[in-house]
Amino acid sequence: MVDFETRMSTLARNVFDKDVGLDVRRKDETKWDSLYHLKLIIAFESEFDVRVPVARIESIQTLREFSEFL
Amino acid sequence: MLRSVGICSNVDLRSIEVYGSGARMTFMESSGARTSISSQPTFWNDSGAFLIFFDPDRVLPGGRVLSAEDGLILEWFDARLKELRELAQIHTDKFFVLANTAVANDTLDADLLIHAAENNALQRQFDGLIYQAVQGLTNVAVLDWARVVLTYGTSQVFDAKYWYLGRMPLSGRGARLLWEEFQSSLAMLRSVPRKVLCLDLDNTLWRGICGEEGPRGVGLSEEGPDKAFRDLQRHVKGLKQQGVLLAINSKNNPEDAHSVFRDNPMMILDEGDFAAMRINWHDKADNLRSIAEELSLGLDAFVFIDDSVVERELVQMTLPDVAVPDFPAETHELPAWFRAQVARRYFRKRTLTNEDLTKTEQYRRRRERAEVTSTLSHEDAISRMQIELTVERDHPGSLMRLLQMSQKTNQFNLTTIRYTEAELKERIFSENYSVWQAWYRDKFGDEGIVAMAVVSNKEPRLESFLISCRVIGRNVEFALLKVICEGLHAEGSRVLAAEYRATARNGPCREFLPAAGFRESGDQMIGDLPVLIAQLAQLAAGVRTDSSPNRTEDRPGSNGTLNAVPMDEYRAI
Repeated sequence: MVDFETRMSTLARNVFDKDVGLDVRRKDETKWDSLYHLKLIIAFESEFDVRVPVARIESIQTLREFSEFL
Repeated sequence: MLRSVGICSNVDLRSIEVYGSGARMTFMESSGARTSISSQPTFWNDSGAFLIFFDPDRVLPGGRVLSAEDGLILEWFDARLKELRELAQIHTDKFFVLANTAVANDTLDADLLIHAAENNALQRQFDGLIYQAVQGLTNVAVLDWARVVLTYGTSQVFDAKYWYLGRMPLSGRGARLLWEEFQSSLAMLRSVPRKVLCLDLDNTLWRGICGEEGPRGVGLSEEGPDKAFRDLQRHVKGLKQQGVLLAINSKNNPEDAHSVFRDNPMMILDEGDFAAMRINWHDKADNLRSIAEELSLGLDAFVFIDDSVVERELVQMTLPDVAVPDFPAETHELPAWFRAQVARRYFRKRTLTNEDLTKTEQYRRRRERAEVTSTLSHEDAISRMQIELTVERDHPGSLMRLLQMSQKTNQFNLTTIRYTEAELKERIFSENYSVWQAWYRDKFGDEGIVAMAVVSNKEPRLESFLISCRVIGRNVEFALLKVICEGLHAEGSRVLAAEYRATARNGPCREFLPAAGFRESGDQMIGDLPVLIAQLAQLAAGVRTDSSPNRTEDRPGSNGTLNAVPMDEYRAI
């Protein structure tokens, strides 16, 4: 879990060009629009070598929720 | 800073970003349509490199295959390429990498699949236009995206999930592959390719040890795994034909190694392909130093291939300037590894000149010259060689060879000015400059263009003067300067100004100007033309010069370039 938090934080920093907390909700981060959401998905799949089902993409609201797909 | 651009048929720009590779490549985002490449706002004023990626899904949209429209599409495409060419010619300090087209999107309409042949033909025409557009531009390279898609497959570079979610034309893997190819293209644009491939023999060019297995017992075959060694030899020979010098550095009894070349019918390479050989029991780093000295090249021009990790590490530790790529663990990986990790990485060239094609023969003639002249005095040696120098002025056909010399010559280079293609071309056509070149021939053969000079006509002043390292010591520099001085004097000039700008590598020409008769004058040197001509006539003794103004078109390689063939991709024989 610690490894996930570190990697996910680094990944998010690369995507957003700023630090975003693992529990920050999508609607509360101004930069986190639909395009950045897609960028996060792509980055996450690439970093962790997993696939996020299309049906689940929109339901993800925080960075921590990505851990369900590991 | 790196910026990149995706261009589609209606010039919507897309956003593609790559993560996890340690660097980021970003396509410009745009919500509006634009009609031309050059209409981007301040974009082109940024520094760095630019990737131009034509999204074929937009250029070849599904369901639209009507021959009447193809002409319009091609016109539009050609117009965009012309804009790009103009941009590249204006912004010569920037690099542009232009990807060729490949269809990776497998969600295209059925109509497109039915008419795939017509669209493939259109795609080939696009690619033809792309290669034409980059001709002669030294700051533009073609990224062979079609080869990447073919190699990895559409399932790797395209992801329908992201296409439907966000119209992303590439998958994460696809974007990363594009990024890596982009970096490779940039490296080729920015760097000078290496000149020498130095190879071990046992378990490198053939399987096994020749001293134990005998000349016909080593593994080389057209069948089975040993075919990989033959294929590797074909690739190595292909590099030689592109002007790369080959050398051998092997711990063996010389006769054991020579017998393989002589007696094994499966050998692709023969001894004549190699410019230098060190087959002995000496330290391989010492052998490399010896080869470098023989070829008069720096160790940074070398790539060393050896199957032995011990030998590789010893060379790497002792000679850090030598590139020593890792060797693949499996035989079947050899050809692909050589293409990707050796040929493309170290020897990729933009253009091929006739001098490149005859490099090995040039070095063979050099050895012959050395054997003939080794026991003679310098003056006797020069006169025995029957050197002829043909000096010409402002010849645009030699532009690429002169550009190459300007970029690569270090040792005998007075001012080490690295001209761009645009700068050199301007000087050739300008009345304010004259660009001189010297063709070299002696009793051993023709060496092509070996020296150049750029004179600023107003003062006049020697802006650049350089000669190839392979003719240092043959009085070529004095002969060329004498012809230049005679030409200037005939046009009414009385003096010639020049300067020597010291670098770490141009020590060999430090005394050239004083020896020629120049004297110091402030921060430059001045020579009285009548004095220079008289002095140079003595120094250039033994070199016959011909400064006839008309080029002899039947001279081998007389246009200086091999039809300016672009060498964006290494090709094996």
